[in-house]
Amino acid sequence: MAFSHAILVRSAPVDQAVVHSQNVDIVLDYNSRIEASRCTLTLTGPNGQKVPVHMEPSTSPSELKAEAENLTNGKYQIHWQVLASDGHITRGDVAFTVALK
Amino acid sequence: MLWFLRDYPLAAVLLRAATLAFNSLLIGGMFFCAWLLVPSTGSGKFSVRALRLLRISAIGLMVTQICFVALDSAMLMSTGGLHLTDLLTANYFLAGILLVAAAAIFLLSTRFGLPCCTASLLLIAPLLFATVWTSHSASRLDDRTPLMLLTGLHQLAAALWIGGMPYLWLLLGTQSESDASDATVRTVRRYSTAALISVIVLILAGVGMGWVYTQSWSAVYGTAYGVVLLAKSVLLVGLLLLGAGNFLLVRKGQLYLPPSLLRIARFSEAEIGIGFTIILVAASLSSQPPAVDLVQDRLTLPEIAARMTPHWPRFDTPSVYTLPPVQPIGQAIQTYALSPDDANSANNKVEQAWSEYNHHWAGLIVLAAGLLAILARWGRFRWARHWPLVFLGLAIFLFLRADPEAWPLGPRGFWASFYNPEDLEHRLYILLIVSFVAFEWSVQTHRLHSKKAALVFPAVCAMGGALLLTHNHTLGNVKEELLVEMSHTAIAICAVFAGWSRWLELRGSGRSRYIAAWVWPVCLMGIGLILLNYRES
Repeated sequence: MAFSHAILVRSAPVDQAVVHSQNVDIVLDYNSRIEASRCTLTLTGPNGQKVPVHMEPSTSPSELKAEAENLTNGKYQIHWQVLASDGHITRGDVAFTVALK
Repeated sequence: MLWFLRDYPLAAVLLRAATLAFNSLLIGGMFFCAWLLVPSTGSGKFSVRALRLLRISAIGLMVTQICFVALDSAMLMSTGGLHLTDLLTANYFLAGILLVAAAAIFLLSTRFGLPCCTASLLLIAPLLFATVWTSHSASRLDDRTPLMLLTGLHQLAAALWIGGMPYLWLLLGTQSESDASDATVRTVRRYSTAALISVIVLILAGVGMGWVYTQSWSAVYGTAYGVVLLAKSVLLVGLLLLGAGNFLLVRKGQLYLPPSLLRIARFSEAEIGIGFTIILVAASLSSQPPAVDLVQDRLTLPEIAARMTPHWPRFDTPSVYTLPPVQPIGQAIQTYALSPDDANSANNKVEQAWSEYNHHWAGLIVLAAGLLAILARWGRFRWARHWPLVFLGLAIFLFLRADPEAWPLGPRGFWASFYNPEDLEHRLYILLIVSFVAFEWSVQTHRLHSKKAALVFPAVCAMGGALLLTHNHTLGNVKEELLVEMSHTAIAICAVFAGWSRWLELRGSGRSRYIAAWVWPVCLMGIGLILLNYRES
């Protein structure tokens, strides 16, 4: 994490997970309320290229949801930046691997 | 941009601290002038000075809020791809506008003189609401409303007590030395009662919040949040001891004797200094995730005990040639800017040994300075009054060894090293040490007779300690970093107490002056001992 305040308490996929699907639901849950419309989530693929993700609405005030489709085999990294309700900015990464059967 | 990214956490903490400080000064001042000041007390001199301080507070609050909103917005726009229009309804933006607007309205109202009616206190509500809105409590998922209420009470009590103190000091400074007016004495008593109630509310609300944010002893001693909370508590105890001295003096009813008011004024100077240091620590605390949320990587008591157990210092150094190869300056800056974690976590065994050797020699130097400062009190050891010169050894040591990759030991040139933030910090420390050595040595040997010059050493010492308390790099609560933070926090607290006790020795009188004269050399020795036991593994 680059800055510490709102911290990631749960993620799907979990850090360093191996997933066996080409469609991945991304869920990032934090310890505090966040301003979801001002948070960013980007996904980089095996060759460092940006992979499009679709942000989805969440019912929880501490959650970011997104979906990535048509992923191929390789290592991926989710880069997130959240704005907590108290004005602090936090950034971090979650890595996972896609291994299609 | 790289520097900007790296310094965001520190800049955010300092701006938050400045916001809390100016807000407290503004709220405390409004309350003091509108409620506590007995009408006939407001002599012309006090009115002018109080009004000036209130205006400075309002302008300071506006400037820091504009800077904070600009900083957060620039960060989100540059790294999150957002536009300014996306941010206009963000909590921090709205809170910032509310603070600026309230401060501006107050500033306009000062055209009519000091706030003197209850109606002017209505401005306290938006000022308080905006800072609570951007506190931990506002972003909690559970118990949000009671936590916001506790935060509001805590901040209000701190503002009335600590924020009101500078106005009390201004009032006492305008009194004649031979006579204390009845109105002044009544104002001092009213402030004393308000301060007592504020302290009770502050402690109760603080304990309540502390419990919710920690919920166990292991969270208090095992997390970065807990360590900062402990530091805040220790400073508060020191402040309460000073406050108790003033409180007892007020209750004894000797206020009509001029020395009593003068003593209160002198004590208030140290109280104001420690009080605003606590506000700085509060800002640092607000940038940490609450301890209750940090369930991994907590330090255990055996781990802390193992690190704190005294070991013989390391007085043998590895050769400079065994240190890792030096990164080109551009690459070093990139590493610091983008991943400070990586830059700090690379210490191998040789680097640790190098660093421990540096800390242990620094500890020996500071310990010697403290011992000599005590010896200098006896006529037989008059030569010991040259103790400030010992710190020159520290400056030379820092210059030679703090940055082995830079000139004179390393390949990086003298000027090139100024581009690296860490090297630059060390160079500034050297400058600071040399300047306070020059002043304090001249004072101790009576080469300099200016009373203001004598205050340079305690001021630098206290400010250095306060800044060290904000210098928190514990990211993700990594155990090793937290152990280092613990020793740095203890050093910072000793430095704050050393600075303000030396200040009291210079400004105070009687028994308090005698006690203060012993406290600061002991604090210096404490810093020396902590440094001598510093370890990185």
